[in-house]
Parts: sequence; C-alpha cells; structure tokens
Amino acid sequence: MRDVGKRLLQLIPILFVITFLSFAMMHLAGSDAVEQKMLNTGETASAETVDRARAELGLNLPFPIQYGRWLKGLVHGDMGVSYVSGKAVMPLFFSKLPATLLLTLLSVLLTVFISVPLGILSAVYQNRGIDLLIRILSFIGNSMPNFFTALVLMYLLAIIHPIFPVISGDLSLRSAALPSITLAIAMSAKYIRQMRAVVLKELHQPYVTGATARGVRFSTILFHSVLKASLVTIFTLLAMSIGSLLGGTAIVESIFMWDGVGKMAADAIRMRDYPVIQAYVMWMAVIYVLVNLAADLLNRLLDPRIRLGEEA
Amino acid sequence: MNKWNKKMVKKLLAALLAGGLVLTGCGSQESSSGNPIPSAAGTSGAEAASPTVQKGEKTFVFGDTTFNSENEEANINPHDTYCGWAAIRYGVGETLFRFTDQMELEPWIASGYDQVDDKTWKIQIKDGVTFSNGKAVDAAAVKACLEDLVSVHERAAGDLKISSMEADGQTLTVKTAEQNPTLLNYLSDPYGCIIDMEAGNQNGIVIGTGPFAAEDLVTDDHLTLKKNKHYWNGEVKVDHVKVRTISDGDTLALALQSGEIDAAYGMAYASYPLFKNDYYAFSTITTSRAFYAQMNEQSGILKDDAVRKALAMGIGKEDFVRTLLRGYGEVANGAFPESFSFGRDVKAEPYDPEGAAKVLEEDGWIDTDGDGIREKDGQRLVIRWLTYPSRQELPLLAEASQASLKKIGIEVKVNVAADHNTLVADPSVWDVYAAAFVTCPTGDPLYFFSTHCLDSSAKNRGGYHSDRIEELARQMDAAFDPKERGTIARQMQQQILDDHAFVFCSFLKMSIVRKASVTGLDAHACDYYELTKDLDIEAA
Repeated sequence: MRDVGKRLLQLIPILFVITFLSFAMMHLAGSDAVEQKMLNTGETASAETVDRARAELGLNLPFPIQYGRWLKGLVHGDMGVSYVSGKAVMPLFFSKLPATLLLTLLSVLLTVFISVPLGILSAVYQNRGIDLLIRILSFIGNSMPNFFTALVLMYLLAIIHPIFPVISGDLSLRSAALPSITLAIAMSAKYIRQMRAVVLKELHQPYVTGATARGVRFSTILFHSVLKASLVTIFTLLAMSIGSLLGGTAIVESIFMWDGVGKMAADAIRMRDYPVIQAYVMWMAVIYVLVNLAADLLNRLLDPRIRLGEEA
Repeated sequence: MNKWNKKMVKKLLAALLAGGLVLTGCGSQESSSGNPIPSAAGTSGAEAASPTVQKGEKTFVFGDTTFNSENEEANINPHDTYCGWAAIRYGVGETLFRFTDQMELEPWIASGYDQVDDKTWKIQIKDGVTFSNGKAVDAAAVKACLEDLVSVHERAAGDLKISSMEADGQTLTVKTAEQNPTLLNYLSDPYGCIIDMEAGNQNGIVIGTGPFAAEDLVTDDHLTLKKNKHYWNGEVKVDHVKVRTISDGDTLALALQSGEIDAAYGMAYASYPLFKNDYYAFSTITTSRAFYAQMNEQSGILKDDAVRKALAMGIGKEDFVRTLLRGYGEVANGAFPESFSFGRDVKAEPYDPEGAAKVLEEDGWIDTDGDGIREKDGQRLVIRWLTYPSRQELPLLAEASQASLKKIGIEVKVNVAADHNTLVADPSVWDVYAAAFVTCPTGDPLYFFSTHCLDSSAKNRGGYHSDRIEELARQMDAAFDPKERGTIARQMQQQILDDHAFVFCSFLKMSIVRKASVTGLDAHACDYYELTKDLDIEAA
C-alpha cells in the first residue's frame, strides 16, 4: 500500500512537467487557435480584430502567464474552455471517454482472444506448417498501417459484405466492431509473436522436461504451468497497450468517426486548442501511471518469485 | 503427444470460430432500406443502407466534411461565428434575399425593396411567411433578429453598418450609418438567416423559416432535422434528415458506397471516378473559390514586369485543370468565373510558352550557361513559390507551374508550408504566393479588391499599388447600381491583369455526389443552399 501511495504521489511532478512541456511545445508550433479558425473559414479580418480575438482567449499574454493561469484554474477544478467549440473542457472530455473505454475493452478482448490461442499453437507446432502460416499472417498484420487495415476492412465488411457500418452511429457493439477489429489485428500480430516466444521459452524449461518424464499430460503442463508462467510477460505487454488504447487511437477513431478522446486530441492539436490538449496530456499521464501500477500489482499476484524476492 | 495436439488444435480453432460467430452476431443488421443498389464496386454494398423510405416516411442522410467546429460551425445559430452556413445549407434558415447562380440577388423572405436615399432602405416582407413553429414573420420579427445579429456578431455589424430600424407591419425600414451599396448582399450572407428571437436558442438550435426544423444537434457529429409542417413555400417532400459530420474524405466515399449516406459533400476528387456510374449522380457548379498566384512586388526579381508577364504567359492553366484537377475546375481569366456577369469580358495573358520566352529574351534573360535556366546580370531566374497544403489543389498547382515554367527557363522553388501565414508576412522570403480565396461570397465584386488590391488591403501581401485601382475602388464604393458596379469590377480586373499583379489559374467546381434515387439536391454557385423543399427520394 505504501508503494501504491508513493506511485500516486509521483503523479504530481509528472503532471506538472508534462503539462508544462506540452504547453511550451504548442506555443513553439507557430500558430494559434485564432489563426487556424481564420484559415479554415477563409475570413479576412483586420489586425485589430485578430488582436482582439487573441486577447479574448488570453493568447496575447506571455507564455508563462498563460500556463500559470491554466494551472491556477486546474487547481480550482477548472480545466478551462475549448478555444474552438467554446464548451467547458472537463464535461467535453468526459463525454468522449465512454467511446474510448468501449473501444479499448473490445479491442483488448479481441486481441487476447486471437493472440493467445494462435501464439500457443504456433509455439507447440514450432517450425511446422501451421506455425509458418501464423507467422506469415502475423508479419502481414504487423506491416499494415492502421488506416490501411481500416479501409480494407471497411471495403470487405461494409461494402462487399455489408455486415458492419462504415461510420459509427452510437456506442453499440455493431458500431464498435470495425474499429475494434482494426486495432485488434495490429495488436494481435504483435502479441502472437510475443506469446509464441514466451511459450517456447517456457516449454524448454527443465520443469517441463521433468513433468513430461513423470507422465504428466502435456495439456496439464501447458495450461497449468507454461501458460501461467507466460502470463506475467503477456500482462505487462497488455498493460502498455491498454494505456495506449485508453489514450485513444486518433487515426482509427477519425476514420470510423468514433467519437473518442483520440479523435478529440487530434482535432485539438490541429486547431491549437490548448485547454483540450492539456486535458488530454493529463489523462495520458494518469492512465500510464495507473496502468503500469496495476500491471505491477498483477505481476506480483501471479509470480510468487516477485513476492518472495521482496519479502526476502 | 500427437493425439493430444490434434485435440488441442481442434479446441483452439473452435474457440476462434466461436469468437468469429460472436462478432458476426454483433454485425446483424438492424434495418435495411429494402432497396439495395449496387455499390460503386459493383456489388450489393448498399444493403446496409440508411432506411430511406420506411412506414411511408422518407429519411435522407447527408454526409458533410465541413460541418464542424473547426470551420466555426459548432451549431446552427446564424448569430454565432459562421454557424449560419449550417443553418442555411441544411434548410433551417432563409435570408431576406438570395443569390441566383449568376450571383444576382432575388427576393426570398422579402418581396422587394425601395431605396429611399443613400442611407435608407424600405424592405417589404412577404405575407404568409412563417417560422417552423408556425409563428408569422413580420417586420418586427425581422427587426428583432437583425438587432440581435448586429449586437453579437462583429463581422455582420461591420458589413451591414445598420444604425437603426423601424418595423411597420410587413415593412422594415433600415437606416445605415454610412452609404452601403452592398447592404442587400450582406443581408443575404448566411448570418442574415431570419430566426425567431422569441423562441430563443436551445443548445445552438434555432427556429428558422426554412423547409426543415432542427431536432437534435451534437457538435462535430450530427444534426437531425424534421420536415417543417408549416413551411410557407410549398410542400416539403422528405420527412427526416440526418446530417453526419464525416471529417475523413475516404470514409465519406465508403459511407456513400455502403449506402449509409444518401449524398456527400466535400469528397476528394480522387474518389469521384468510383461514382461515375448509373447508380449515382453528380451536381457540379463553378464557384468563385479561385486558386491564384499573387506576385510579390517587393521582390527584386518580380519588380521586373517582363518576369511577371512571362509567369502569366507560362503557367499552363489548362493542363493543370484538365490533368491534375481531373477536369473538376474551370480555367480562370479574371477574379470571377465567367458565369458571373462581371466575370466576363476580361482578358488575361494567354498560355504562350514561346511568347513568354521571347518576352524574357527581349528583357535580357538568356540561358548563357546552357543549364536550362535563364540568367541576367549574373542572376539566375529563380522564383520562390510559397503555398500551403490544406487545400489539395495548391500543391498540385505549384507542381504544374514548376513543370510548365521550367520549359521557358524559369526555375521554381516550391515551399508548401502549413505555417505559410508567418512566412508570407516576410516579403523577403517569397516571390509568388499561391492561395485559394472565395472572391465573391456575397455577390458583390468589391470584396476581392478591398481585401487584396488596395493599399489598405489585409491580403495585399505583395505590396501592389495602382492609382487607378484606388480610384476605381472609390467609385465602386459610391455606386449603388449593380450594372455600374459590374462595369467597374471588369475595369479593375483588367487593370490588375495588365499589371501582372495576379495570375488567376482556376475556379473550384463544387460537387455534391448523390444516389441516383435522390432528386432536388443541387450545388449552387454561392455554396450556401443545399437542402431545400425540392429534396426527394424516389421509392423503389
């Protein structure tokens, strides 16, 4: 518990540093929300009008003062107002969260469901036909960028075989299917190889040879010992992926019009919408710290060596 | 082990298959139009189509890339930034006057007007016009709407220059603070949509007079509309409309192919060939969005009129439009399309590479070292071409110009920069700035000149000056007669073309792509009017 508290306390300096850095980087980017909006609408405004618009948003102030104001608001529970939509950032952010959580849950479930059995198959049949096939598929999956996979899936599963919609209409499984499959394909391609490597390593451990020699059934060895031992590595990797997915997947969310935090962040960066970007950056920091903490705790639970090592 | 392995393979494959079935189960269709049309791919992709006709009611789904807060269209309240575009495009709002496709004014909610003096206008409101809540529109309602507009909308207040208004029955008397010949044009801007101020503004939803009334709005996602049962101008044929914001161009095309949307606005040119078949139809019109090259008169090399003239003669506009824009553009002469009355009878330098080469040679620009690029007094003829990537046509224009100008011995160094606004503010780092601009958004030609060509113009980036242009602008400012303004506009265009201050390359042809079963959905030159009472969907 002490360690958990310590890790949570570490969040404070992390949040301070990364919000400052992101604020600074956005200012170095060379334009602001007023300019971006004028560019989009083609508006021809006088210099006075532009200056007034900047002053209304506080963009005319020196960078440290702008950051200080934002920080002061944050301490008081106010994350500001979006420069683009004019809506309060906190409710805006939380309105996008359910979509991202659903997409994360579905794509992780699909990934586990695809990669664990195929990884085991590939390891058990090492260098045989099925292993080769799975490795080739995994290689292809790894090579395809997400946007390409998304377009291929749309074409195959929404146009040629109209099973799923191209654009998501709501937070339903049907709408979430294609973006989830897109994400799961990329992640599974990676995890199949990881799973294969971990299982292969365990299969060559002396305890497997010993158990086989004592006549223990292979399935018992595989599911009771090898798989359990492999889970530590898989959980750590999954934790990292969950962190990344919870941060939203800007490209996939944008292509499928999935209204999650990734799309929100991509739009905010394009429009230099600082308050929304800051909310996103904070969210990313929190989830990475929390997800890593959860992975550590889970590993401790699954691997007695970690617990015993600490106790010793 | 082999026996066990076979069992295990079966189990694992069974698990994968079960998972596949679960996913397929998720994908079972909720509804179908029952009217599948072959997709562009030649398959029956539209089976997952939007339910266009169900229980005798027609629903139309429209995909649009531009309806979003990034374009300052976060809602449909015309008094909020550029949200009036959404109000007028989606048939919620209507203005006192509207534009024809020749960008001439015609009455809409108004029945006519009288100009009492230079600063006083009497506008007659049509009898029988109602808001979608059934309330009659009279001069008092229009006055309340316009008063709110000028009090909250800085751009509108600056354009309209209204000092006072009086309402008497169906007659609205408008007084302007100074003479404003373009008052009626600006009243036809989308911000001029007449809305019921007493009904208020519910989460960005307003009550207008158009054929549709808004029901639900989620910024950057969708707008749902229903038929306005009180519509004053005839029967509305479609019962429900859903406007979907789809920011990705490929997704928009795929959504139309799959049948999830019935029509699309803002599709990339590259996707057009997918819809060139009997199952889809295009409505295309030339708009006043011009792609042009603006000369930097402060640049050493472009102070030389011969170089500017050679550039004007050496850019292959026809090739650019025919090849790179795949014909989805109109070759430009002046600042306005020829379909506009003041866009005709102006003469730009014709494409003439040999003539351009001769002009340069006579001015002393000769390729002395045989590298294909001309020199004069030891200076190579190199043009720094600045443009930006957010308009897909501009990088293509830069490439096309680079290729065609090389043929006459001019080297073009292209800089496609997202941060172009910062760069263009420094006249020492560019020679030619290529941009896109809607030259005539409200049917009045002065707008382009006042923003680009005068000493005081915000977009006179190259420091162009012409005494004659300044004088003609003053004349147009005082002219109320549209014909007289048109004549002056032609003279001004000819002057800037003769000065080789601009090269107008092409105009955007705007297209709406729709299913063949959709009728009454047409593109308009001003880009304001999309969904009207004429919109209809033919049942199977």
